[in-house]
Amino acid sequence: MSSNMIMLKSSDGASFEIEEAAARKSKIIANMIEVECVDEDKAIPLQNVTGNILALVIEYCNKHIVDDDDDVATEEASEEEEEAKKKKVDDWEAEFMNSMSLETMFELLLAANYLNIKSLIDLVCQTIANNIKDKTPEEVRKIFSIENDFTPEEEEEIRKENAWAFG
Amino acid sequence: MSKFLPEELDVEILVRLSTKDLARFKCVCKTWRGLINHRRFAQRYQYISPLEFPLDQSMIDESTCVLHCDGPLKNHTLMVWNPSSKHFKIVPNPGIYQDSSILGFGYDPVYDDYKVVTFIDRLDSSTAHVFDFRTDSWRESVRIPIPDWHYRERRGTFLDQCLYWITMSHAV
Repeated sequence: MSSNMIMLKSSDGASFEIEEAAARKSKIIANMIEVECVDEDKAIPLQNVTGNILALVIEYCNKHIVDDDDDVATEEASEEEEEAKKKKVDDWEAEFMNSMSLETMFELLLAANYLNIKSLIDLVCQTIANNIKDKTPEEVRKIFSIENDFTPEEEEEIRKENAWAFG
Repeated sequence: MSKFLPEELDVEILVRLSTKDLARFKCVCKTWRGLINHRRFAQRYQYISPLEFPLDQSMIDESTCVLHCDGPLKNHTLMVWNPSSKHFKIVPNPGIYQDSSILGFGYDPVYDDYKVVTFIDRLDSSTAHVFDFRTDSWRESVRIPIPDWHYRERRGTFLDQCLYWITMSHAV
């Protein structure tokens, strides 16, 4: 396996070394590699991602680099092995997400969206969804910093229409 | 809209919630209500969180009321399934409903009730029978003498508070 290392630079100037194969999980970075979009330090500049969030993205990409390796399939792993592997990844993802605050999740989601890493978008969205299910509208507004723009009458009307969901 | 996220990411989170959560979160703000009510949202929701139809006796709850006009499902017994609460309602059937019967399901805003409508066709007349969920019973409604049409499709379409059937006239 090739282990070409490349350099990524965050918006706040932090540099990270990462295997090219892992970095290519991001469609944007893969593109930038193709067109050799590097700065004077031979690093790929990512203007919309801060260093602490980029570190999380890299941790995720490094962990998932094996997923896409084609040579795994040729080994003809048994169903059990496949399942065990999947469980290991699931456990890792659960722990990875568990370690961060909701605010960090939002930033990570924005970064994953900007870098176009679909599996990470899915993971973060699912985790945020798990965090807000069963919550009240008030709690959700607080979490998302959303201002309630309904009049009390309008809100009452919607609550009435959906009374079954407030039980 | 939320301070943190663009709308498309709000949607990606919302499609991973239950229909019950969504019904509640419609009153979070106008943007969210608009996102959840949008037709494209339903398509994305169906893709990410497909609603299952679990034919499991333990799911049947006679006391539940129907909240979605998604049409009744039949399997000899006439049942109405509420995709939101995932409950079934078995419609009692004292010989009125048959597998081949004309069937409609809709919401009656006047009586705030869900209803099932079926027709019993005889050569000389067609009689509408209505099942009221509130009273949990069937009643005979309009009787149309000498029906001179037949139905294109068994199932009626509920549109703007009315049930419609497409029919074809016997007369040439």
